Amino acid sequence: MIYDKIDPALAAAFDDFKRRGRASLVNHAGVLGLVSTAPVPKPARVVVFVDCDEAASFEHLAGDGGRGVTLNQAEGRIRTGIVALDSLERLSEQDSVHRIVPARPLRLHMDVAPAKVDLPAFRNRSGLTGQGVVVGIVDSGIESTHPAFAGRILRLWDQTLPGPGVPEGSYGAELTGELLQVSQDKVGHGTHVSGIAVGSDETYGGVAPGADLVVVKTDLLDAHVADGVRYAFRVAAELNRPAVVNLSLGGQADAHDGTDPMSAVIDAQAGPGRIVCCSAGNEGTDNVHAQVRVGEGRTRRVSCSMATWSPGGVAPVAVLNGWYAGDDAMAVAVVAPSGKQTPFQAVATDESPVRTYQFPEGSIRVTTPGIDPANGDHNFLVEILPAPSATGVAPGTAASPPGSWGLRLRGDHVTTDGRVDMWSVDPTAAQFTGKAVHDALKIGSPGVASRAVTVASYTTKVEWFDVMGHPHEVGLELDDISAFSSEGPRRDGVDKPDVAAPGAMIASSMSVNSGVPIDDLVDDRNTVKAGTSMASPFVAGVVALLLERDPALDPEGVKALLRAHCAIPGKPAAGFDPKWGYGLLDTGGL
Amino acid sequence: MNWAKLDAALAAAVGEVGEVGDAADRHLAVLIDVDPAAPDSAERALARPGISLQAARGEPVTASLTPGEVADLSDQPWVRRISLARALRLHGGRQEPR
Repeated sequence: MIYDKIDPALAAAFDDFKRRGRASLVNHAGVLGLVSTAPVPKPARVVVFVDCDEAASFEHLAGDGGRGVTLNQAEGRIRTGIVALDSLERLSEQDSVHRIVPARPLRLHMDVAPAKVDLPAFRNRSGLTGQGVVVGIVDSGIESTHPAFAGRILRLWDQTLPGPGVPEGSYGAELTGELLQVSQDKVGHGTHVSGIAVGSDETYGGVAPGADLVVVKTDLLDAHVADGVRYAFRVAAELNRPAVVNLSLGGQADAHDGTDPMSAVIDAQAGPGRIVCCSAGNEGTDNVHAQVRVGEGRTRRVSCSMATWSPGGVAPVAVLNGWYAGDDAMAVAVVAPSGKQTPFQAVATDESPVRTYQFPEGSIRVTTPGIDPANGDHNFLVEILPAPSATGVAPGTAASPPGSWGLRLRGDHVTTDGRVDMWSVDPTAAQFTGKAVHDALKIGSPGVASRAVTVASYTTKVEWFDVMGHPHEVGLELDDISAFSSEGPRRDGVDKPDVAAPGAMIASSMSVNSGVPIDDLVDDRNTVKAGTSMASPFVAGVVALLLERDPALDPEGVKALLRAHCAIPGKPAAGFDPKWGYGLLDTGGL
Repeated sequence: MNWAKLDAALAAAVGEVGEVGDAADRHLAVLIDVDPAAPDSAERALARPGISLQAARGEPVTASLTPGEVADLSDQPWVRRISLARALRLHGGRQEPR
């Protein structure tokens, strides 16, 4: 027996069995998947997980009459099966076996999200499953062979494959039937999101297991995501079905007021029987937003910490996206850590608004165009590519090099309150520091689309057992809004997010092509993830149930329904909070 | 080039005056906001870079354009704005501290 390969609880049971016989197994029956402890002709057996080589064969260990090793899978890294305790030694001695773990009784807290929003009560009372509804997932793709989606993926547009495209965009390839497998989800995100919305699974099932899927594997360009939204709704319309499209993605490069082009597409596409759900974003603990007020003729400084990088590494490019009222005019300058400053660059309307400056600390490009016709406001862009240094340090950490980059804003013409909002488009490259940091207005497009249902994350679970039986716990506050969930409202004051739903830690479908670490595996087909990405498809699934009941429900009707069944702990009904929206969804009364 | 119709990111991508010609072969993914009342000539003008206006009246159309095509379209009275397509991030799979 190679004890290093045996789970401690199973090793203890085996030792007892060897010393004191079958009767001793009764003491272990409560925590192990023992098949039989009673004195019957069949030998004592245990249900196990076996971590082994992908192509390992155990046919030579199979026995008669329940003896030996019987595994349910002929291949794969994690297999399940029944092993006679007398055969445990031989199994552990196989070179292809890495670990043997007993199956354990399921714990209710492994799948608590639906119960925390009273979803079982709603589904049992209504009998709704999402049947007849299309759920569109624009994401990283899907593992089409996953049993949770069997027979329910109607179409898949893989924008990343070479091909003639579809009417909405002449790029990528459209796949159906057996060809679905040509497209792979190597990230795992889209598969997990799809499972939350519509997965069919006894333990980790989705909200609307009767709905069908239209999937877009996107390259994450907002223009192509917009094309994906159009595609999903067009396919649903051809099938004469209502649809809800889920977008568990976003950025910080827009105006944060719903006037960007992608939001405009969403607002135009949404309507009766056409609903879009978006995630709020995960910048709740990142300093990605700064706000200052600049008076006429005055200057204000906004500091930011940039990531450094070493030669041979990946160069971080800091992109700072600023917006202010169109009635004002600001000039922008950039200050390097050395104190050297670019000239103040004013708004340019009759010529190129782009200027580039080369400093020893890095290359700087400042763009100061005229008014954006979509919202009548001014936008400026500052892009910094720091020069490589000896070591790489994450932005905003104590180890950041002394001195920081800064923006200086000069009020050339100020008739309003001079408010300027700025966002760091990539928080891994740059974050704001100092007094200008503002923990609000962090929801970007598409979450700011007026007609989208924007979803914040609520933490329903902080601990789980992985497939090998090891416990794990994350440092989130249980039964509270997730700290990482981005705060609203929109830059123009419109309430966002709309609702909160379970987003951590959520167990759902796993893509076998995505290389999930064992710590995150809860069984051989499901994994845990956290993010507002997980919360949005939960609501998309609820919307699918509502559309089954009323196919003509429009975005405003959906929002009114959801808001009427939300609550923020400790706050009066129908109250808004920048983190919670209108509160945690309670589906019991829908 | 009508710089007023380019969003900041597209203006930065197209480059400073004098550099546009150097980037003639680059293709930029963009979204074009077209006046809903655009004349029929707009459809013909957009068809040259392969854009179908018919299918998306009233909402931005997506396209892949060279800087020269961006310049040409920006000069059209029925083009309201041209925005650079931006990369988004997935909002899941956070690695929370354990």
